Amino acid sequence: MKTVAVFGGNADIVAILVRLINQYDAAEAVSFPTVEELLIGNFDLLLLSSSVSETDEALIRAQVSQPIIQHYGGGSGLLRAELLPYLD
Amino acid sequence: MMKSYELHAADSRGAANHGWLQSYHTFSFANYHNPSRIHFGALRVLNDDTVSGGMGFGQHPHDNMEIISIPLEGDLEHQDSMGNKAVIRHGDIQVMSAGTGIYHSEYNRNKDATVKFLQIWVFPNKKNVTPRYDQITLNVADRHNQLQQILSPNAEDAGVWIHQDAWFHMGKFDQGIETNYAIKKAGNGIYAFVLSGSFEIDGQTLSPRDGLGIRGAESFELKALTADAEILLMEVPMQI
Repeated sequence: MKTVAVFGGNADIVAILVRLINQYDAAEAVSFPTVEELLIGNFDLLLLSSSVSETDEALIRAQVSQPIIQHYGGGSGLLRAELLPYLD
Repeated sequence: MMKSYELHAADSRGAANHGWLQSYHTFSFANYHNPSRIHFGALRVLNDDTVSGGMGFGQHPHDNMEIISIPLEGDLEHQDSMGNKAVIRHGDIQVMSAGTGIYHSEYNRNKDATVKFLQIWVFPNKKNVTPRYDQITLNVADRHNQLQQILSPNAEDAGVWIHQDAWFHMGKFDQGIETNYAIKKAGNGIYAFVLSGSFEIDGQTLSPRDGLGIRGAESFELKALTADAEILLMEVPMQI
């Protein structure tokens, strides 16, 4: 079971992504409201959603050592293909 | 760079039958996952959808994607969180830059007729843009025996525009008509998708709903092998 952190500035879309990931057997999702909380959070993968400022994204990419997956599309369409290569 | 080809036969696409929705996915989408069919350059989704009368997609979000809908048959009603409410039908092209996020719904406006449309997603060249919506009506007669541009990166150019160095064209040809397509931007690839009839492209025969990805080309020839042969050409960057 992999823990996937979902981070983004559009709270509605983040909530949908969390709900969708929690439907997978091989993953569970968590979300963090701020970059500061994300940077001290425990997770195996980071799914980066939309509406993250360039400054925050640069900070995240510099400090997060876990794999970072850029999510596109904002829903279920591409999520499976984005996550599967990282799930057992 | 040598020219190379990637043929996706119509019957090799992923299929999803939800009762009210029959969808064929050229590339991995939702529950269809094929690691060798994820994208063709910036072209990420090519869904060939048929929606039963009165049915449709309820309100759902999108972000960071250029979404192009091409109705082939019937009336598709669109409503979104930017206040747009519209009906698109054959001859129209709809585009949404999802950017920071939008909600929309799409329904078959008619209870007694199906809607058929292509939904195409292209990776944007810039993330988190301000969401936008547009639709245009084209004169389909202008694509008879020639390629009609339906999309480009430029707002001033023919067709709709998107945040990507992509150009789309459609053409409907009489049997035996040949034409040439020259790549607009060096390095781009072309994905050809046959809507009806059959074509020959660089010696390869394509039947309805076959797709052919072409890399490394500066130009290519296409020939209609049957009457009323219709094709969609999507030129997209190969680096994303």
